[in-house]
Amino acid sequence: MPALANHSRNDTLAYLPTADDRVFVERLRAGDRPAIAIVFDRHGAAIERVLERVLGCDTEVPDLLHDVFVQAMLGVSRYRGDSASLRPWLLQIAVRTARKCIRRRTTRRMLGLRTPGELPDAPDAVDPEQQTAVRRAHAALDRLPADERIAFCLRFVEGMQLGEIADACDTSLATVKRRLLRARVRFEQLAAKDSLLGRWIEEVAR
Amino acid sequence: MIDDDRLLALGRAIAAAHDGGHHGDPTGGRARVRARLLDRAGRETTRSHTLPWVVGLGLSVAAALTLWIAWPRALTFAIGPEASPGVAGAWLAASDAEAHSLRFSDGSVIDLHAGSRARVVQLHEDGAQVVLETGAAHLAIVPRGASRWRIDAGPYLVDVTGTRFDVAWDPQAEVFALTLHEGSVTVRGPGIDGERSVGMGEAMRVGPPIPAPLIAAAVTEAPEIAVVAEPAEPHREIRTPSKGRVPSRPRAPTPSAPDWRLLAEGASYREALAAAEAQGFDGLCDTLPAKDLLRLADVARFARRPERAAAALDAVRKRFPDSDGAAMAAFERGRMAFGRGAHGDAARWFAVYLRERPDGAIAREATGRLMESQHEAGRTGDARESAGRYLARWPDGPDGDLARRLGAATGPG
Repeated sequence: MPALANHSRNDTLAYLPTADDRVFVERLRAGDRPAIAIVFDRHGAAIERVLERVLGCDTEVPDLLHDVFVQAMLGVSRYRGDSASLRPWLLQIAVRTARKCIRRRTTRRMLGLRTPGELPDAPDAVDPEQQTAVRRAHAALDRLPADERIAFCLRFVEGMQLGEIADACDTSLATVKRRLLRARVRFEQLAAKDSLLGRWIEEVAR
Repeated sequence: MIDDDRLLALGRAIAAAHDGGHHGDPTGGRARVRARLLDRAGRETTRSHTLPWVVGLGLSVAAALTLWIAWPRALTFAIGPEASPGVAGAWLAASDAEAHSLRFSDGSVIDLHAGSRARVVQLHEDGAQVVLETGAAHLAIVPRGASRWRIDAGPYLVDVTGTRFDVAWDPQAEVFALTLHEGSVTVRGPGIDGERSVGMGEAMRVGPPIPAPLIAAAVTEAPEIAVVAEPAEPHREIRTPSKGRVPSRPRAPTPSAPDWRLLAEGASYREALAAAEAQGFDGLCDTLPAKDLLRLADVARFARRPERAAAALDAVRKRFPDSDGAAMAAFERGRMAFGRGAHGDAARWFAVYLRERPDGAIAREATGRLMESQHEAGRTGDARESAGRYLARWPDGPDGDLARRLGAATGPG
């Protein structure tokens, strides 16, 4: 059982393909904290992807991913959902975590402090020009207010539907639409000032 | 503006760059996170099992003692001559032969008349909420700085500061009566537009002209009676500004049916709406004051029942035309329409609000939303006009950037 090598109790549950997440909620509530590993196996990749979509390919993402699941593990007693999947709830935690991270960085930037983690090592697999353009895009996104940035990234980078974004941000559809509209306006203004980014937007749309 | 397709293409390119940034080891980072998570889980489990209970218990006791000494305590009450301790939530029924006294720790007294039933629902440090299910009661509330006493007599809500009064509710005859001896109270409920203040020496009665026995006892004992609300015919006493059919009445909450307002205050919106429906949603729409109807609409909206929210808001507009509440209902209808993507409808409702309250408290918000709805509905000319109006009045408003952008996007104006 390699996937559950560190998991000592009721491991068979992890292999029940039909067992929905409520089983693990009950186990976590009953004090079986290692059951979080099974939840992680089920949803970790999706949550990591969402964090990356919002924050970029960032060295801080693994820490934030860890934080999301620790919050879930410790806060499961407050979970009130009745869905068979914990993913919507985990997405909400991930969005809150990303928002905190963005705001913390904004504050640090305002204070003139460096924000480690924002500028990851260049991935070998990415074309240098594209990498520069992606950096410019993230630099533009960095200048959006946290909520607008999150809505923008979830919609256009992660490709989520508006209703899904509203659920993830724990807000109304109307609010999401307003945030998106404002984010688009701001992003376009920023892109208009950056010829490389503007050119790249034209290129990728072809 | 950059269109959706180009933004989605840009997003896909960014996502591809993210996915390419894992150096061919897409799960390596996650595996480390998983290991850390299991390590943390193990420590949490161990900690939870080996937590020094004595220390925890000691801290808890110290904290509890500190709180007990410093925290403002909720009132308590005792029942009858034996002064047996009263319990919030329990029904209290006076026998047919004798009255029942409730004495509160702040000195306030409620005498429940013979044959009456009541329940102390909540006890605060500065008051209590009492439901009079049936019958009559005499209340002597000790005035204090920030008293919060409320009496729910059937569908009528009496907000009390320091005062002495008689109140009665007969659910069969649907008669509410109140006689005030000292102080003042405000009453909300069916047939009362908004809320009604009752002053010293005044009496209020809502219901059929012939007093029901339960009410008669309370009212005839009152020394000063000036009828404030005396209907001409049975069932006509529930007066509303709307014309036509006789409105349906809400059923009085039963002992097992909690008040929807209480549940709403506790943010239990689905349960609050269920309670309102159990009480008779249409009846509430026909009888609640505007403020409560707006609250009911909020409850329905939060419970994700937009059709109920719309019904409550429409009731406000129908029953209280030209009021602030009606304008607010139009604004809320606009917000709901925007939320479901009906931008044309949303624009119409925001325009209604602005027509009715051009200088209203949320005129700026309504203008911003009108502009945005018109833009979303493809009415660029109208959006530009609205943007112009917005900028003329609130150049530094929160929608200023959007207004400037929309104005620029639709050409010179």
